[in-house]
Amino acid sequence: MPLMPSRTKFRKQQRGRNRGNAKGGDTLAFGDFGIQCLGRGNLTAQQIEAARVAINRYLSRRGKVWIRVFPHKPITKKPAETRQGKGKGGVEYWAAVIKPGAILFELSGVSVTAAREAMRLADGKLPLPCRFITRETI
Amino acid sequence: MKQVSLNAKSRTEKGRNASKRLRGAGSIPAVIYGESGVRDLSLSQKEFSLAWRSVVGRAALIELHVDGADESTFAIIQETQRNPRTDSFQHIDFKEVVRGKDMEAEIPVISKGVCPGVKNGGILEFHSETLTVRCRPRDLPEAISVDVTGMQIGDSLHVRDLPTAEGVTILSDDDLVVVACVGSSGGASAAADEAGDEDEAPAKPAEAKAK
Repeated sequence: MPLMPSRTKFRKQQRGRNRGNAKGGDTLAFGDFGIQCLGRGNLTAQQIEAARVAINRYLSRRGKVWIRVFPHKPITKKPAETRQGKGKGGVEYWAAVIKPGAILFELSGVSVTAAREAMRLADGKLPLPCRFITRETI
Repeated sequence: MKQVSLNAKSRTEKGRNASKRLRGAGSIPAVIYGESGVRDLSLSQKEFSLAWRSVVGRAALIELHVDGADESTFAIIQETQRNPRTDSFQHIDFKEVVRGKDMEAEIPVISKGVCPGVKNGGILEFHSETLTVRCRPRDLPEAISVDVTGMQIGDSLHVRDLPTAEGVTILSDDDLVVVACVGSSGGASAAADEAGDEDEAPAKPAEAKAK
């Protein structure tokens, strides 16, 4: 089941702008390894879930994984072949707004080689450029 | 005690634009504060990066030679500001250290030995990456090493269990958990999640759930 808020104050949000670099969540807080996003954009709940599954599948019950981003933002879409107007479309999916520098996943309890490969597989599921970081490199 | 020597220059220009110019010219704006007041400094980016590589993950005393003076000022790195994208240093805070007077510093915690719990599938989890200590500058430890050789899954080490060097007092709460050996999280639940993901069609967020 992809991530989504259990309840929200408002059903729909405006798009907004995504400017600047990550102000928080840009350093390793829990694990020894992680992937840091270098691009800017949205990560859908499905993409986050796909990356998590890729990490867990590769590590097969080893290590501990932290997901550092959460899809708080509802993204709406009008149905196909609909005339304009009649209000905003329904919520289609949930997304996390990502700024450059944000840490997406953290990992501990595995070797650096395994962590690098797991993160490479996770990176493959994400639409934004990422880099592998360790506690020593920061 | 690790000690690194750095050259610094005094700077009079302050503010965002002056700092940007400084960074463009290959320097890092810095500040030192302590008993002798506050002074604005600038450091060579290259020199600081090299010094940083030798002290990263360890506590160290920095010997600052300001404006080429023979008399040096001792300090610790209190805070670094970095660009989250490029990792380049934006600003450095130094906290002045006075010889012969007690100082407080954040000392990193490192593990020593092999944990048997990890061999049995557990994970060594550091709950406190750093601990606050009070000591004289000459007694400043590089790191606090925690012996994990006797730890099984479910065991944890608290601040009160740590051996302290002479002249060093750990100020953190005695009951604070420093390191714990826990079972792996990628267990049965994660495997079940994975199986579920493969079987089920991708779930769409129901609008009703969003209220």
